[in-house]
Amino acid sequence: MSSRTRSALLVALAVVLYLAPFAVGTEYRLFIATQMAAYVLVAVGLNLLNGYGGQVSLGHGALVAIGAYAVAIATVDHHWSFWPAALLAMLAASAVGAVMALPAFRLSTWYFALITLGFAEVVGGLLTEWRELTHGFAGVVGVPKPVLFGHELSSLDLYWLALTLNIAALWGMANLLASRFGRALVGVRDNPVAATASGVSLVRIKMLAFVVSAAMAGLSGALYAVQKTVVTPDDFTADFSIFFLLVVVLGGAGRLWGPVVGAVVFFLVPELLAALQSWRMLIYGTALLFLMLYAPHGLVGAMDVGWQHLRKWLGLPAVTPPPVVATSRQTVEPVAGEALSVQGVEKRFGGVTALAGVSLEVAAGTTHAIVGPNGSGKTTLLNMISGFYPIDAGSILVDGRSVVGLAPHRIARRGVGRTFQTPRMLPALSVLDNILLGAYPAERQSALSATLRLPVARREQAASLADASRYLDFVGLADRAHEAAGELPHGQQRLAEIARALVGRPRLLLLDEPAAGLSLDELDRLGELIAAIGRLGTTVVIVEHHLELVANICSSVTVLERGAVLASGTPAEVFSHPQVVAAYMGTQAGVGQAAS
Amino acid sequence: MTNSRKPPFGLQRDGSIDRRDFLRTAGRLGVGAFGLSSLGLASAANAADPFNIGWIRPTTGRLASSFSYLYIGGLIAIEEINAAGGIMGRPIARIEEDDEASPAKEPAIVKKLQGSGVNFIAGPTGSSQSLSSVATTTPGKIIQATYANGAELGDGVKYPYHYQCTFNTNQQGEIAVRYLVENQKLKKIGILQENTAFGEQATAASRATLKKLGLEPVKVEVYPLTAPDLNSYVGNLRKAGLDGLICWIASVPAAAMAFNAMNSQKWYPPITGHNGLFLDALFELVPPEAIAHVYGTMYRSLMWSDTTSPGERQKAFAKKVEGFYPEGKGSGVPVANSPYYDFLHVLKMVIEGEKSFEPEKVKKALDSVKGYKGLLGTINFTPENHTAIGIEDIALASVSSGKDPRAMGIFREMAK
Amino acid sequence: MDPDLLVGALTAGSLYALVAMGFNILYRPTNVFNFAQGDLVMLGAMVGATFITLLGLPWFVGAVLAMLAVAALALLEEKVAVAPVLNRSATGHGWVITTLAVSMIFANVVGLCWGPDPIAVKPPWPLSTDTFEVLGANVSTYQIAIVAVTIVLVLGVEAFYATRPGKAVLAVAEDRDAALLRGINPNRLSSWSFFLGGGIAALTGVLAAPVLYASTGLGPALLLKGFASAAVGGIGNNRGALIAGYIIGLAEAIAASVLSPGYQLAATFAVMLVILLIRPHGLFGRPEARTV
Repeated sequence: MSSRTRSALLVALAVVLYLAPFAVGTEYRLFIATQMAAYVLVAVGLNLLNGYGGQVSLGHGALVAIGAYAVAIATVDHHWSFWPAALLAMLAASAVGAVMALPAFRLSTWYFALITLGFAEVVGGLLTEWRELTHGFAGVVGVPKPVLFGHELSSLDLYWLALTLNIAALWGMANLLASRFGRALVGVRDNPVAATASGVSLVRIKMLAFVVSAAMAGLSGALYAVQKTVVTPDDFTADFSIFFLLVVVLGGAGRLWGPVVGAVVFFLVPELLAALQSWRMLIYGTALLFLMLYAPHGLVGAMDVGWQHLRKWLGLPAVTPPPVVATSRQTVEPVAGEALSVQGVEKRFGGVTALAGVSLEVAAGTTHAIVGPNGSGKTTLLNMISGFYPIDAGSILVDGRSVVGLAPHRIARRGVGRTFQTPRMLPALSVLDNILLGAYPAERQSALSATLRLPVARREQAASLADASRYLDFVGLADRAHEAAGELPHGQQRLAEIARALVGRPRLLLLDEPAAGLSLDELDRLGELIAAIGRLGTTVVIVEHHLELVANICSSVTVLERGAVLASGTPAEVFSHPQVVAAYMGTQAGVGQAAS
Repeated sequence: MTNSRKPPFGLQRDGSIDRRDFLRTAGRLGVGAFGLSSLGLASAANAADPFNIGWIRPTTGRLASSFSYLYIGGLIAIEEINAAGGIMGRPIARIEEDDEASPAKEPAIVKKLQGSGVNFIAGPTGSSQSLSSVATTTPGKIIQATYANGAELGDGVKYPYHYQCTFNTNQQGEIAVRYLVENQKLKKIGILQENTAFGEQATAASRATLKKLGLEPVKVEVYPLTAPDLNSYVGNLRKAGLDGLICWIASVPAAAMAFNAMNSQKWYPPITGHNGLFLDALFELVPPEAIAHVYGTMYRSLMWSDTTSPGERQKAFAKKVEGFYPEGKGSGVPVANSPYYDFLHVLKMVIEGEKSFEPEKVKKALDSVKGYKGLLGTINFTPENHTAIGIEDIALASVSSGKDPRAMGIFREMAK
Repeated sequence: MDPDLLVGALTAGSLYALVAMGFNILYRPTNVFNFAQGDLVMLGAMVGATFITLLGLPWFVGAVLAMLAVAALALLEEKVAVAPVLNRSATGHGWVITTLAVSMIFANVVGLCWGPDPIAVKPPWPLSTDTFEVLGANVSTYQIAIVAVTIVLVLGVEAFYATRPGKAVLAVAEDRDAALLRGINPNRLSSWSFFLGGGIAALTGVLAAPVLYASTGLGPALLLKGFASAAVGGIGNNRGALIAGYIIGLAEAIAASVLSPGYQLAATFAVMLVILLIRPHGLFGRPEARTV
């Protein structure tokens, strides 16, 4: 269905929801609907963090608690108006969320899940313990309804407020996910190395996701407090946090509408199964298990698959998004290549010496190859230049500045792009989106302007899209732009990865065995591509086994063997060097025998 | 069994209540054996509109085993009233909701009951739970009696529609302290308190009384309901060197844990406190010297002494309780202390006096109830004071006397 | 410092170390951290309490039956919730949610079967929970037994890992596929490890019951403290878990007496976080190199 039809349907749905209370509303139903809307807010935030970002947080219930208590205490004990109290709630929850996020940066995912669980329990305990502040087990009673322009909000008004907040949240979230932040977050989840190589600071993106989801939880807590008028520690058990995870997973983690579907099902089911009240938790646990095993993409995922099958069965054509056309055939701008200088670099892994004092120089704008037998340390060297491994000794200068000790994403932002031995794609995203990831460091829009789709953000996004389309064309993948990157054959994934690196306008491009596994035809194309990149002015360092390719496109070569430089110079010099011939090519004479 | 109730006053109806209530009755997980007769439906001959009362009672959750059977007094009252023709010819019918003894669940339950046109509610149990509930029933103008001792709930100005048909924490605190200080001549008093509204208010009342007597508590330990054991709390109290201990404990497991802790630390101080201490399971759990000097607050009407004994009305009641509750989980005293028996009988009296079920009229009439001789004590209400019982009607009784055959399950011997 | 605190700390710490050891045994060949571990301990306590207190069987018989029952349940968990996820993706984290779901299921089944009230369990004769004075501290014979048994178990398990089958387990932990190539069956090892981990969890529960009461609340509390001990000691390192358990027990005891017993969990948590932030792999763990 076209986006026009979709928008129309969504508007119609919104209208129905706003008007529904006049037809079927009772106090109790409004109560439940408002509560469900509050849950959706949290779930949307948690979906950002968990569904898209892959971080399992079992502590969001505690963040809702903080928001709810902030509003309750501020309005009951200190007579604040609701609106500044709600802002306080969001700030408090964001602050605690940021603190909760800190361990995530040093510890792995499941450690983090347990720590957030512990957090939730500790907050729950403190809520009861700090009786003077929180009124203990009895809780804060009598939270007043918000007042807007002198008019006290009724249950109906509250429902409308909640509904409006939901719509705004979903809209903002859709915008954020479609922007560079959404891609970077998926990178964090599916391939952190790829994201880092594209200049994404994993720490920053995770923190962004945390703070946004925490703020939404806080806002939800504010809504919760005025709707229930009573806020007690019992509202916020550890189970509460797990509920949100369940809603996200049930609906479909990583799907925009997942949280909505999940919350609706989650709320409707107990109402229908009221008789099984005491079995409720057991049913939820079983549902969660079942889902994770058989439908990891939740209800929305299952619906998507079902919809595809239905379309096929009905004979409807597959939906093709509009083709990606490079906006103009203008030539790509030249690049100011960076020079690379490696001096005496050493690296040991336990007892094994990977690099024993390697030095090489690459002049700006030239194409240089590093060759050598397997295990000679080529990839290790690349990893150290791009910052993924720390150096034991020596220096590395890019464009005359040292990159030793810098985080890999920082080095990427200095204009160093790279590809990997095994292409690192984000399989769930389209080829085009993967390539757009490469534009991350070039774009400047803030998360806020992305969320609100401000004109400056839209302009930037259009420019990046044009760039990406151009490079897509450049590597010859324009016709596969909208396919899932995971579906691409190996050789084309490599090309896509190169395009991704190019979108970032690298001044030094590191290619790790780009020719491995390519057919002869693809090899030719690769050669042309690298030559074209070189002509743009980019400095290219390529690790390769295909010596013919190397001889054709490189102006200089370094040969490594067992972590030391064996020979260095032009291809002709190096490949006729007797030691190189003996050590590397062995008894097999001639250039062009692949040994990948 | 079909249920032909119609909600009164023609209000919009959910419909699902009937089905749900039926299913809940059918699927009840036997915490106490309630017969279906306890639904209180009138016999087939009487086709009058039933009078619906909300019944908020925990059947699931951590505190269900401590609270769920405390409504038996109410069931007995309903049976008696319906057998006599109901209220103004209308039989009482209960619309029951499970609040899981969680303050968090109360607002939604009240809204649900409101939606079914209910104007009178019995329950919930527990001061924290009740405070949460009255926050919604008060603006909803619903007449309510809860099983909660927190003195705040007797405030007729703050909660004009709530009637506390039990003694309150002010009275309990007074009695518990005075016994230890004046009767037993002890000076160093400590308090073990559950972290709930009941516990807070009871401790506050104890402190106030101690102050009047020129004393301060030597140590106050507050434990959360989720505490896995009470060893450290009891240990802290013991090390403070107390002569006497006051225990504001209202849940069965906590009472057991407290005495276990005292037993393993071999510390047997004299104890006064809440009627949650009247736990017959203690007889198996700890040696006799542990409970030789333990006393809880109770109604005089349910006590015997060397010179007095409970009346015939109370003895008949004891037999009825046994009929409803044969397994005798050994919490007969809290069961008997239930406010619902007297509340429902007073309600009947007031409604038939006013010839109206309208809440405002009923409230006015309730506010002027004077000298009503209830089962448990004399009931008086004023517009400002909604605590029914006066301090003269309560006293301390010994826990260990539960073994005496005169106990008949619910009586105890007055403290000497 | 009050010597009673030390006694309590050692006892509690031993129990936490045992929970941690259960985690470690499961973790070694699978790299899966079982969120349902606390519930396995609780199940052991409840089943043991049922056999010993409610049915009156002798203590050892009840303990062994409990261990077998829970070990079987752990095996079931592995087959249903862990193996399918691992087979789908050896490095994914779907097992976080599946083991969490299993935890919910266990906890609620126990709640439905046994109700929320704690069951008291008496220690086996001749041990008892009555205290007597030693060097100014109040100790019970049962507490001494717990500490001793824990140390013996830890040393025993460590000794096992030095044997050939033990080394096979370590191999699978390092590289599942490489181990497969050497003729080791990772699936079978995973199943065995869950079986044993479940047994140890049950034993922990039965040992803990006289001191901590068998009730549904036992699970979550032990999950977090056991995790804290395992993490602080270094995941996979049992001797580290023992020392870490004592540290955590001590932190708790000090918090209870200096601040208030309600701060125990917060204190444990704070100590764990501080240590982990300084040494993310625990006091005795080894960092792993990243693979690019």
